[in-house]
Amino acid sequence: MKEQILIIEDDEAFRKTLTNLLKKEGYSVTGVSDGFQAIELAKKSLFELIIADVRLPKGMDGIEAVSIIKGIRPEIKVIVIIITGYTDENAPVRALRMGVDDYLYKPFKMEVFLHSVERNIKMYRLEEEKKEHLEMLEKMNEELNVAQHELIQSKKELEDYSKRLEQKVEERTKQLKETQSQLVQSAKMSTIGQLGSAVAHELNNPIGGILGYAQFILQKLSKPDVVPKDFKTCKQYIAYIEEEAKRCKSIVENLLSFSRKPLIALESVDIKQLIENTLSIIRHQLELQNIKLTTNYEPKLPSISGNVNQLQQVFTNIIINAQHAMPKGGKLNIRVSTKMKDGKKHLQISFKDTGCGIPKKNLEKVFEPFFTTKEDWQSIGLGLSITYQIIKELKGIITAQSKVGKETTFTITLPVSSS
Amino acid sequence: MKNKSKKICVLVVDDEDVMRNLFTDLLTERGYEVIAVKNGLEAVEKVKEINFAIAFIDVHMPLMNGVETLMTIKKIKPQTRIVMMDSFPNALIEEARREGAITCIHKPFEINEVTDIMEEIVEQKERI
Repeated sequence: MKEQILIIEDDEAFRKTLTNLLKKEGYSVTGVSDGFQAIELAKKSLFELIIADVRLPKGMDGIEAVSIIKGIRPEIKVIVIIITGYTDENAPVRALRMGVDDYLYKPFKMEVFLHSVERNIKMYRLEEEKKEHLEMLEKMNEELNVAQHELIQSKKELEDYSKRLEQKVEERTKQLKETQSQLVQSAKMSTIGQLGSAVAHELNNPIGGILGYAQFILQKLSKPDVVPKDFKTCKQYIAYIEEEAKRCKSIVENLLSFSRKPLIALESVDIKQLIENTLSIIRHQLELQNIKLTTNYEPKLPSISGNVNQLQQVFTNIIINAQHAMPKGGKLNIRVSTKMKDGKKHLQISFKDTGCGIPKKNLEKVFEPFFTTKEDWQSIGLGLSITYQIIKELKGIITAQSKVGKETTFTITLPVSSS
Repeated sequence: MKNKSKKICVLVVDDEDVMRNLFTDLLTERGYEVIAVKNGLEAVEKVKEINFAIAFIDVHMPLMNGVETLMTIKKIKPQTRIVMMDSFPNALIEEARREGAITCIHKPFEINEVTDIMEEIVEQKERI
Protein backbone atom coordinates (compact mmCIF):
# COMPACT_ATOMS: atom_id res chain seq x y z
CA MET A 1 0.00 0.00 0.00
CA LYS A 2 1.40 3.32 -0.85
CA GLU A 3 1.88 6.15 1.51
CA GLN A 4 -0.73 8.61 2.79
CA ILE A 5 -0.26 12.18 1.53
CA LEU A 6 -1.84 15.37 2.89
CA ILE A 7 -1.95 18.45 0.69
CA ILE A 8 -2.56 21.78 2.39
CA GLU A 9 -3.32 24.23 -0.47
CA ASP A 10 -6.05 26.90 -0.54
CA ASP A 11 -5.92 27.24 -4.37
CA GLU A 12 -8.58 24.65 -5.15
CA ALA A 13 -7.65 24.09 -8.79
CA PHE A 14 -4.00 23.72 -7.98
CA ARG A 15 -4.82 21.43 -5.09
CA LYS A 16 -6.94 19.20 -7.34
CA THR A 17 -4.20 19.06 -9.97
CA LEU A 18 -1.66 17.93 -7.46
CA THR A 19 -4.10 15.49 -5.86
CA ASN A 20 -5.00 13.80 -9.13
CA LEU A 21 -1.44 13.62 -10.19
CA LEU A 22 -0.46 11.81 -7.03
CA LYS A 23 -3.52 9.56 -7.01
CA LYS A 24 -2.53 8.44 -10.48
CA GLU A 25 0.78 7.38 -8.99
CA GLY A 26 -1.09 5.20 -6.57
CA TYR A 27 -0.82 7.31 -3.44
CA SER A 28 -3.60 7.89 -1.05
CA VAL A 29 -4.18 11.66 -1.12
CA THR A 30 -6.21 13.98 1.07
CA GLY A 31 -6.46 17.65 0.34
CA VAL A 32 -7.42 20.52 2.71
CA SER A 33 -7.50 24.23 2.20
CA ASP A 34 -6.21 25.53 5.54
CA GLY A 35 -3.93 24.74 8.45
CA PHE A 36 -6.69 24.11 10.99
CA GLN A 37 -8.35 21.45 8.87
CA ALA A 38 -5.00 19.89 8.31
CA ILE A 39 -4.30 19.71 12.03
CA GLU A 40 -7.68 18.10 12.75
CA LEU A 41 -7.14 15.47 10.11
CA ALA A 42 -3.59 14.82 11.21
CA LYS A 43 -4.79 14.15 14.75
CA LYS A 44 -6.99 11.34 13.47
CA SER A 45 -4.79 9.84 10.74
CA LEU A 46 -1.16 9.31 10.08
CA PHE A 47 0.26 11.00 6.98
CA GLU A 48 3.68 10.05 5.77
CA LEU A 49 3.98 13.08 3.48
CA ILE A 50 2.62 16.55 3.94
CA ILE A 51 2.72 19.01 1.06
CA ALA A 52 1.96 22.48 2.31
CA ASP A 53 1.80 25.87 0.70
CA VAL A 54 3.34 28.55 2.86
CA ARG A 55 0.55 31.01 2.07
CA LEU A 56 -2.60 29.78 3.83
CA PRO A 57 -5.75 31.53 5.00
CA LYS A 58 -7.17 32.01 8.47
CA GLY A 59 -3.99 33.32 9.99
CA MET A 60 -1.87 30.15 10.07
CA ASP A 61 0.69 29.64 7.41
CA GLY A 62 1.85 26.26 6.07
CA ILE A 63 5.05 26.18 8.09
CA GLU A 64 3.19 26.75 11.34
CA ALA A 65 0.60 24.14 10.48
CA VAL A 66 3.22 21.51 9.63
CA SER A 67 5.12 22.39 12.77
CA ILE A 68 2.04 21.76 14.88
CA ILE A 69 1.23 18.55 13.01
CA LYS A 70 4.75 17.31 13.61
CA GLY A 71 4.26 18.01 17.27
CA ILE A 72 1.28 15.63 17.47
CA ARG A 73 3.55 12.60 17.09
CA PRO A 74 7.01 13.97 17.58
CA GLU A 75 8.73 10.54 17.47
CA ILE A 76 7.36 9.77 14.01
CA LYS A 77 9.05 11.06 10.88
CA VAL A 78 6.88 13.00 8.45
CA ILE A 79 8.10 14.08 5.03
CA VAL A 80 7.51 17.73 4.49
CA ILE A 81 7.48 19.47 1.13
CA ILE A 82 6.87 23.17 1.27
CA ILE A 83 5.51 25.07 -1.74
CA THR A 84 6.16 28.74 -1.86
CA GLY A 85 6.25 31.81 -4.05
CA TYR A 86 9.38 33.85 -4.37
CA THR A 87 8.00 36.64 -2.30
CA ASP A 88 8.21 34.73 1.01
CA GLU A 89 11.67 35.78 2.07
CA ASN A 90 11.66 34.40 5.62
CA ALA A 91 9.92 31.23 4.70
CA PRO A 92 12.97 29.20 3.73
CA VAL A 93 14.76 29.97 7.00
CA ARG A 94 11.72 29.19 9.07
CA ALA A 95 11.07 26.03 7.15
CA LEU A 96 14.62 24.92 7.59
CA ARG A 97 14.42 25.53 11.31
CA MET A 98 11.26 23.43 11.47
CA GLY A 99 12.79 20.67 9.44
CA VAL A 100 11.74 20.41 5.84
CA ASP A 101 12.61 17.79 3.25
CA ASP A 102 12.05 19.81 0.13
CA TYR A 103 11.25 23.26 -0.98
CA LEU A 104 9.48 24.01 -4.26
CA TYR A 105 9.16 27.43 -5.81
CA LYS A 106 6.03 28.25 -7.71
CA PRO A 107 5.60 27.86 -10.61
CA PHE A 108 7.13 24.51 -11.04
CA LYS A 109 6.91 21.82 -13.60
CA MET A 110 4.81 18.80 -12.64
CA GLU A 111 7.73 16.50 -13.37
CA VAL A 112 9.80 18.43 -10.87
CA PHE A 113 7.03 18.08 -8.27
CA LEU A 114 6.55 14.40 -8.95
CA HIS A 115 10.24 13.80 -8.89
CA SER A 116 10.51 15.52 -5.53
CA VAL A 117 7.67 13.46 -4.07
CA GLU A 118 9.10 10.24 -5.38
CA ARG A 119 12.61 11.02 -4.31
CA ASN A 120 11.53 11.91 -0.81
CA ILE A 121 9.20 8.95 -0.53
CA LYS A 122 12.00 6.75 -1.69
CA MET A 123 14.34 8.21 0.92
CA TYR A 124 11.63 7.85 3.53
CA ARG A 125 11.13 4.22 2.61
CA LEU A 126 14.85 3.66 2.77
CA GLU A 127 14.92 5.28 6.17
CA GLU A 128 12.07 3.12 7.32
CA GLU A 129 13.80 0.07 5.96
CA LYS A 130 16.97 1.14 7.61
CA LYS A 131 15.11 1.58 10.88
CA GLU A 132 13.54 -1.84 10.51
CA HIS A 133 16.89 -3.40 9.77
CA LEU A 134 18.43 -1.67 12.72
CA GLU A 135 15.64 -2.88 14.95
CA MET A 136 16.06 -6.36 13.59
CA LEU A 137 19.81 -6.20 14.08
CA GLU A 138 19.37 -4.97 17.60
CA LYS A 139 16.95 -7.74 18.28
CA MET A 140 19.31 -10.30 16.78
CA ASN A 141 22.15 -8.83 18.75
CA GLU A 142 20.11 -9.14 21.89
CA GLU A 143 19.29 -12.73 21.06
CA LEU A 144 22.92 -13.45 20.28
CA ASN A 145 23.93 -11.98 23.63
CA VAL A 146 21.46 -14.20 25.36
CA ALA A 147 22.60 -17.19 23.35
CA GLN A 148 26.21 -16.41 24.11
CA HIS A 149 25.41 -16.08 27.77
CA GLU A 150 23.61 -19.41 27.69
CA LEU A 151 26.54 -20.92 25.84
CA ILE A 152 28.93 -19.71 28.51
CA GLN A 153 26.61 -21.19 31.10
CA SER A 154 26.42 -24.47 29.26
CA LYS A 155 30.14 -24.54 28.80
CA LYS A 156 30.62 -24.04 32.52
CA GLU A 157 28.08 -26.73 33.32
CA LEU A 158 29.83 -29.06 30.90
CA GLU A 159 33.16 -28.36 32.55
CA ASP A 160 31.69 -29.06 35.97
CA TYR A 161 30.06 -32.20 34.68
CA SER A 162 33.24 -33.27 33.00
CA LYS A 163 35.17 -32.74 36.23
CA ARG A 164 32.63 -34.77 38.19
CA LEU A 165 32.77 -37.49 35.54
CA GLU A 166 36.54 -37.59 35.78
CA GLN A 167 36.27 -37.97 39.52
CA LYS A 168 33.73 -40.75 39.15
CA VAL A 169 35.92 -42.50 36.60
CA GLU A 170 38.87 -42.22 38.95
CA GLU A 171 36.85 -43.67 41.78
CA ARG A 172 35.49 -46.43 39.60
CA THR A 173 38.95 -47.26 38.25
CA LYS A 174 40.21 -47.45 41.80
CA GLN A 175 37.33 -49.77 42.69
CA LEU A 176 37.98 -51.92 39.67
CA LYS A 177 41.67 -52.11 40.44
CA GLU A 178 40.84 -53.21 43.96
CA THR A 179 38.40 -55.80 42.66
CA GLN A 180 40.92 -56.97 40.15
CA SER A 181 43.60 -57.39 42.77
CA GLN A 182 41.07 -59.20 44.93
CA LEU A 183 40.26 -61.50 42.06
CA VAL A 184 43.91 -62.12 41.40
CA GLN A 185 44.31 -62.81 45.09
CA SER A 186 41.31 -65.16 45.03
CA ALA A 187 42.66 -66.92 42.01
CA LYS A 188 45.98 -67.23 43.74
CA MET A 189 44.27 -68.44 46.87
CA SER A 190 42.23 -70.90 44.88
CA THR A 191 45.35 -72.14 43.17
CA ILE A 192 47.11 -72.27 46.50
CA GLY A 193 44.07 -74.12 47.83
CA GLN A 194 44.37 -76.62 45.03
CA LEU A 195 48.07 -76.65 45.60
CA GLY A 196 47.26 -77.07 49.25
CA SER A 197 46.02 -80.63 49.21
CA ALA A 198 48.64 -81.77 46.75
CA VAL A 199 51.35 -80.01 48.76
CA ALA A 200 49.98 -81.31 52.03
CA HIS A 201 50.25 -84.82 50.75
CA GLU A 202 53.69 -84.29 49.29
CA LEU A 203 55.09 -82.58 52.38
CA ASN A 204 53.24 -84.33 55.18
CA ASN A 205 54.81 -87.67 54.47
CA PRO A 206 58.41 -86.56 54.74
CA ILE A 207 57.50 -84.32 57.68
CA GLY A 208 55.81 -87.30 59.28
CA GLY A 209 59.07 -89.19 58.94
CA ILE A 210 61.08 -86.29 60.39
CA LEU A 211 58.75 -85.82 63.36
CA GLY A 212 58.42 -89.52 64.03
CA TYR A 213 62.13 -90.23 64.00
CA ALA A 214 62.99 -87.10 65.96
CA GLN A 215 60.60 -88.13 68.71
CA PHE A 216 61.80 -91.70 68.59
CA ILE A 217 65.43 -90.60 68.94
CA LEU A 218 64.59 -88.33 71.87
CA GLN A 219 62.80 -91.21 73.57
CA LYS A 220 65.68 -93.59 73.03
CA LEU A 221 68.34 -91.18 74.26
CA SER A 222 66.28 -90.14 77.29
CA LYS A 223 66.22 -93.67 78.71
CA PRO A 224 68.49 -94.19 81.76
CA ASP A 225 70.08 -97.28 80.25
CA VAL A 226 71.34 -95.85 76.96
CA VAL A 227 73.95 -98.07 75.28
CA PRO A 228 76.41 -97.34 72.44
CA LYS A 229 74.31 -99.45 70.11
CA ASP A 230 71.52 -96.90 70.61
CA PHE A 231 73.75 -94.12 69.35
CA LYS A 232 74.52 -96.11 66.23
CA THR A 233 70.84 -96.71 65.58
CA CYS A 234 70.03 -93.08 66.23
CA LYS A 235 72.70 -92.01 63.78
CA GLN A 236 70.87 -93.99 61.10
CA TYR A 237 67.61 -92.38 62.09
CA ILE A 238 69.16 -88.94 61.90
CA ALA A 239 70.30 -89.76 58.39
CA TYR A 240 66.66 -90.52 57.53
CA ILE A 241 65.66 -87.15 58.96
CA GLU A 242 68.25 -85.42 56.84
CA GLU A 243 67.04 -87.18 53.72
CA GLU A 244 63.42 -86.36 54.32
CA ALA A 245 64.22 -82.74 55.07
CA LYS A 246 66.03 -82.47 51.74
CA ARG A 247 63.03 -83.98 50.07
CA CYS A 248 60.84 -81.28 51.57
CA LYS A 249 63.28 -78.71 50.30
CA SER A 250 63.04 -79.88 46.70
CA ILE A 251 59.25 -80.08 46.85
CA VAL A 252 59.09 -76.49 48.00
CA GLU A 253 61.60 -75.44 45.36
CA ASN A 254 59.48 -77.05 42.67
CA LEU A 255 56.49 -75.23 44.04
CA LEU A 256 58.21 -71.88 44.02
CA SER A 257 59.44 -72.30 40.48
CA PHE A 258 55.82 -72.59 39.53
CA SER A 259 54.56 -69.65 41.51
CA ARG A 260 57.49 -67.31 41.28
CA LYS A 261 60.06 -66.47 38.67
CA PRO A 262 63.40 -66.73 40.37
CA LEU A 263 66.31 -64.95 38.78
CA ILE A 264 68.24 -67.73 37.18
CA ALA A 265 71.71 -67.25 35.89
CA LEU A 266 72.03 -67.92 32.20
CA GLU A 267 75.07 -69.51 30.69
CA SER A 268 76.16 -70.97 27.41
CA VAL A 269 74.94 -74.58 27.32
CA ASP A 270 76.17 -77.46 25.21
CA ILE A 271 72.93 -79.39 24.77
CA LYS A 272 74.52 -82.61 23.61
CA GLN A 273 76.72 -82.67 26.70
CA LEU A 274 73.79 -81.89 28.96
CA ILE A 275 71.59 -84.62 27.53
CA GLU A 276 74.41 -87.14 27.81
CA ASN A 277 74.93 -86.13 31.47
CA THR A 278 71.23 -86.54 32.18
CA LEU A 279 71.17 -89.91 30.48
CA SER A 280 74.17 -91.11 32.46
CA ILE A 281 72.01 -90.93 35.58
CA ILE A 282 68.85 -92.50 34.21
CA ARG A 283 70.19 -94.78 31.49
CA HIS A 284 70.39 -97.72 33.87
CA GLN A 285 66.80 -97.58 35.06
CA LEU A 286 65.62 -97.29 31.47
CA GLU A 287 67.53 -100.44 30.60
CA LEU A 288 66.01 -102.25 33.57
CA GLN A 289 62.63 -101.48 32.16
CA ASN A 290 63.51 -102.77 28.69
CA ILE A 291 63.56 -99.35 27.10
CA LYS A 292 65.88 -99.13 24.10
CA LEU A 293 67.53 -95.72 24.02
CA THR A 294 68.84 -94.11 20.81
CA THR A 295 70.29 -90.65 20.27
CA ASN A 296 70.90 -88.59 17.12
CA TYR A 297 72.94 -85.41 17.33
CA GLU A 298 73.48 -83.20 14.29
CA PRO A 299 77.21 -82.50 13.92
CA LYS A 300 78.59 -79.13 15.13
CA LEU A 301 75.60 -78.10 17.16
CA PRO A 302 75.62 -74.46 18.33
CA SER A 303 75.23 -73.73 22.03
CA ILE A 304 72.15 -72.09 23.54
CA SER A 305 71.67 -69.66 26.38
CA GLY A 306 70.12 -71.32 29.44
CA ASN A 307 70.57 -72.70 32.92
CA VAL A 308 72.13 -76.13 33.26
CA ASN A 309 70.12 -77.21 36.33
CA GLN A 310 66.81 -76.11 34.91
CA LEU A 311 67.42 -77.77 31.55
CA GLN A 312 68.49 -80.94 33.27
CA GLN A 313 65.22 -80.80 35.20
CA VAL A 314 63.35 -80.39 31.92
CA PHE A 315 65.02 -83.33 30.19
CA THR A 316 64.71 -85.55 33.24
CA ASN A 317 61.02 -84.73 33.50
CA ILE A 318 60.35 -85.61 29.87
CA ILE A 319 62.43 -88.81 29.96
CA ILE A 320 60.79 -90.02 33.18
CA ASN A 321 57.34 -89.32 31.69
CA ALA A 322 58.36 -91.40 28.69
CA GLN A 323 59.52 -94.14 31.00
CA HIS A 324 56.18 -94.15 32.81
CA ALA A 325 54.39 -94.37 29.48
CA MET A 326 56.21 -97.61 28.64
CA PRO A 327 55.86 -99.82 31.74
CA LYS A 328 56.51 -102.93 29.70
CA GLY A 329 59.40 -101.46 27.73
CA GLY A 330 59.73 -99.77 24.36
CA LYS A 331 61.91 -97.29 22.52
CA LEU A 332 63.03 -93.78 23.33
CA ASN A 333 64.72 -91.67 20.70
CA ILE A 334 66.34 -88.32 21.41
CA ARG A 335 67.22 -86.17 18.42
CA VAL A 336 68.94 -82.76 18.38
CA SER A 337 69.14 -80.69 15.20
CA THR A 338 69.23 -77.06 14.01
CA LYS A 339 66.29 -75.36 12.40
CA MET A 340 65.51 -71.91 11.01
CA LYS A 341 62.50 -70.21 12.56
CA ASP A 342 61.44 -66.61 11.95
CA GLY A 343 64.72 -66.09 10.15
CA LYS A 344 66.76 -67.03 13.21
CA LYS A 345 68.67 -70.19 14.00
CA HIS A 346 67.11 -72.51 16.60
CA LEU A 347 67.93 -75.81 18.21
CA GLN A 348 65.29 -78.50 18.06
CA ILE A 349 65.33 -81.28 20.65
CA SER A 350 62.79 -84.07 20.26
CA PHE A 351 61.96 -86.95 22.61
CA LYS A 352 59.98 -89.73 20.97
CA ASP A 353 58.68 -92.70 22.90
CA THR A 354 56.66 -95.74 21.82
CA GLY A 355 54.41 -95.55 24.84
CA CYS A 356 50.67 -95.50 25.42
CA GLY A 357 50.25 -92.05 23.88
CA ILE A 358 48.13 -89.10 24.96
CA PRO A 359 44.51 -88.76 23.78
CA LYS A 360 43.75 -85.57 21.85
CA LYS A 361 41.55 -84.11 24.56
CA ASN A 362 44.36 -84.35 27.09
CA LEU A 363 47.05 -83.16 24.70
CA GLU A 364 45.84 -79.59 24.99
CA LYS A 365 46.03 -79.70 28.77
CA VAL A 366 49.23 -81.58 29.20
CA PHE A 367 51.25 -78.48 30.13
CA GLU A 368 48.66 -77.18 32.59
CA PRO A 369 49.65 -77.18 36.24
CA PHE A 370 48.12 -80.01 38.28
CA PHE A 371 46.97 -81.84 35.18
CA THR A 372 47.78 -85.49 35.68
CA THR A 373 46.26 -88.73 34.56
CA LYS A 374 48.36 -90.74 36.94
CA GLU A 375 46.36 -92.54 39.55
CA ASP A 376 49.05 -92.48 42.17
CA TRP A 377 49.24 -89.48 44.40
CA GLN A 378 52.95 -89.13 44.03
CA SER A 379 52.41 -87.26 40.82
CA ILE A 380 50.75 -83.91 41.41
CA GLY A 381 51.08 -82.89 37.79
CA LEU A 382 53.54 -80.05 38.12
CA GLY A 383 56.42 -81.52 36.13
CA LEU A 384 55.38 -80.53 32.62
CA SER A 385 53.98 -77.16 33.66
CA ILE A 386 57.33 -76.29 35.24
CA THR A 387 59.08 -77.58 32.13
CA TYR A 388 56.82 -75.35 30.05
CA GLN A 389 57.65 -72.31 32.20
CA ILE A 390 61.38 -72.94 32.02
CA ILE A 391 61.34 -73.24 28.24
CA LYS A 392 59.12 -70.19 27.90
CA GLU A 393 61.51 -68.11 30.00
CA LEU A 394 64.32 -69.14 27.67
CA LYS A 395 62.22 -67.75 24.82
CA GLY A 396 61.64 -71.22 23.42
CA ILE A 397 58.60 -73.39 22.86
CA ILE A 398 57.64 -76.95 23.73
CA THR A 399 55.00 -78.92 21.90
CA ALA A 400 53.56 -82.40 22.20
CA GLN A 401 52.28 -84.70 19.49
CA SER A 402 50.84 -88.14 20.04
CA LYS A 403 49.16 -91.16 18.54
CA VAL A 404 47.21 -93.10 21.15
CA GLY A 405 48.58 -96.57 21.69
CA LYS A 406 51.56 -95.88 19.48
CA GLU A 407 53.89 -92.99 20.26
CA THR A 408 54.37 -89.57 21.76
CA THR A 409 56.87 -86.88 20.78
CA PHE A 410 57.81 -83.85 22.86
CA THR A 411 59.65 -81.22 20.86
CA ILE A 412 61.60 -78.34 22.41
CA THR A 413 62.74 -75.45 20.23
CA LEU A 414 65.25 -72.99 21.69
CA PRO A 415 66.90 -69.95 20.12
CA VAL A 416 70.61 -70.28 19.52
CA SER A 417 72.63 -67.75 21.53
CA SER A 418 73.73 -64.88 19.35
CA SER A 419 77.27 -64.67 20.69
CA MET B 1 53.42 -118.63 58.40
CA LYS B 2 51.69 -118.47 61.78
CA ASN B 3 52.38 -116.23 64.74
CA LYS B 4 55.59 -117.08 66.54
CA SER B 5 55.50 -116.79 70.34
CA LYS B 6 53.07 -114.28 71.75
CA LYS B 7 54.26 -111.35 69.73
CA ILE B 8 51.49 -109.14 68.40
CA CYS B 9 51.63 -108.85 64.63
CA VAL B 10 51.30 -105.38 63.07
CA LEU B 11 50.76 -104.78 59.35
CA VAL B 12 51.83 -101.43 57.86
CA VAL B 13 50.60 -100.55 54.39
CA ASP B 14 52.14 -97.32 52.96
CA ASP B 15 53.87 -96.49 49.67
CA GLU B 16 56.21 -94.06 51.47
CA ASP B 17 59.55 -95.66 52.40
CA VAL B 18 60.15 -93.40 55.39
CA MET B 19 56.74 -94.29 56.87
CA ARG B 20 57.35 -97.99 56.59
CA ASN B 21 60.77 -97.62 58.16
CA LEU B 22 59.45 -95.52 61.00
CA PHE B 23 56.72 -97.98 61.96
CA THR B 24 59.12 -100.89 61.67
CA ASP B 25 61.83 -99.29 63.81
CA LEU B 26 59.45 -97.89 66.38
CA LEU B 27 57.25 -100.89 66.94
CA THR B 28 59.93 -103.58 66.63
CA GLU B 29 61.81 -101.92 69.48
CA ARG B 30 58.66 -102.14 71.55
CA GLY B 31 58.45 -105.86 70.97
CA TYR B 32 55.94 -106.08 68.15
CA GLU B 33 56.31 -108.10 64.99
CA VAL B 34 56.08 -105.64 62.09
CA ILE B 35 55.39 -106.49 58.46
CA ALA B 36 55.53 -103.46 56.16
CA VAL B 37 54.27 -103.47 52.54
CA LYS B 38 54.04 -100.92 49.75
CA ASN B 39 50.52 -101.45 48.47
CA GLY B 40 47.13 -103.06 48.97
CA LEU B 41 47.82 -106.11 46.82
CA GLU B 42 50.86 -107.09 48.86
CA ALA B 43 48.89 -106.38 52.03
CA VAL B 44 46.11 -108.76 51.07
CA GLU B 45 48.65 -111.51 50.34
CA LYS B 46 50.19 -111.10 53.81
CA VAL B 47 46.81 -111.05 55.52
CA LYS B 48 46.00 -114.42 54.01
CA GLU B 49 49.11 -115.91 55.61
CA ILE B 50 49.30 -114.09 58.95
CA ASN B 51 46.85 -113.09 61.64
CA PHE B 52 47.49 -109.41 62.28
CA ALA B 53 46.11 -107.81 65.41
CA ILE B 54 46.13 -104.46 63.68
CA ALA B 55 46.85 -102.89 60.31
CA PHE B 56 47.87 -99.27 59.70
CA ILE B 57 46.76 -98.39 56.18
CA ASP B 58 47.48 -95.21 54.21
CA VAL B 59 44.44 -93.89 52.42
CA HIS B 60 46.23 -92.76 49.24
CA MET B 61 48.16 -95.46 47.43
CA PRO B 62 48.66 -96.59 43.87
CA LEU B 63 46.95 -99.71 42.46
CA MET B 64 44.50 -100.13 45.37
CA ASN B 65 43.58 -97.25 47.62
CA GLY B 66 43.32 -97.56 51.41
CA VAL B 67 39.57 -98.08 51.54
CA GLU B 68 39.61 -100.88 49.00
CA THR B 69 42.46 -102.48 50.93
CA LEU B 70 40.48 -102.19 54.18
CA MET B 71 37.41 -103.81 52.69
CA THR B 72 39.34 -106.68 51.19
CA ILE B 73 41.18 -107.37 54.45
CA LYS B 74 37.93 -107.29 56.40
CA LYS B 75 36.52 -109.92 54.09
CA ILE B 76 39.47 -112.23 54.70
CA LYS B 77 40.15 -111.61 58.38
CA PRO B 78 37.25 -109.56 59.77
CA GLN B 79 38.72 -109.38 63.27
CA THR B 80 41.72 -107.34 62.09
CA ARG B 81 41.64 -103.87 63.60
CA ILE B 82 42.22 -101.21 60.96
CA VAL B 83 43.68 -97.75 61.56
CA MET B 84 43.63 -95.37 58.56
CA MET B 85 46.31 -92.79 57.88
CA ASP B 86 46.06 -89.67 55.72
CA SER B 87 48.09 -86.55 54.92
CA PHE B 88 45.23 -84.12 54.27
CA PRO B 89 41.46 -83.97 54.89
CA ASN B 90 39.50 -85.99 52.33
CA ALA B 91 36.32 -87.96 51.76
CA LEU B 92 38.00 -91.39 51.75
CA ILE B 93 38.60 -91.11 55.49
CA GLU B 94 34.85 -90.88 56.12
CA GLU B 95 34.27 -93.87 53.92
CA ALA B 96 36.95 -95.80 55.79
CA ARG B 97 35.24 -95.08 59.11
CA ARG B 98 31.96 -96.32 57.69
CA GLU B 99 33.65 -99.48 56.47
CA GLY B 100 34.93 -100.19 59.93
CA ALA B 101 38.24 -98.39 60.57
CA ILE B 102 38.60 -98.01 64.33
CA THR B 103 40.31 -94.64 64.09
CA CYS B 104 42.37 -92.39 61.86
CA ILE B 105 45.73 -90.73 62.37
CA HIS B 106 46.87 -87.69 60.40
CA LYS B 107 50.38 -87.24 59.06
CA PRO B 108 52.57 -85.85 60.41
CA PHE B 109 51.60 -87.59 63.65
CA GLU B 110 53.36 -87.84 66.97
CA ILE B 111 54.76 -91.28 67.75
CA ASN B 112 52.74 -91.53 70.95
CA GLU B 113 49.57 -91.56 68.83
CA VAL B 114 50.77 -94.88 67.43
CA THR B 115 52.12 -96.26 70.70
CA ASP B 116 48.91 -95.32 72.56
CA ILE B 117 46.84 -97.31 70.09
CA MET B 118 49.19 -100.29 70.48
CA GLU B 119 48.97 -100.14 74.27
CA GLU B 120 45.19 -100.19 74.08
CA ILE B 121 45.29 -103.34 71.99
CA VAL B 122 47.64 -104.98 74.47
CA GLU B 123 45.26 -104.10 77.31
CA GLN B 124 42.30 -105.49 75.41
CA LYS B 125 44.16 -108.71 74.75
CA GLU B 126 45.10 -109.02 78.42
CA ARG B 127 41.55 -108.54 79.51
CA ILE B 128 40.38 -111.46 77.45
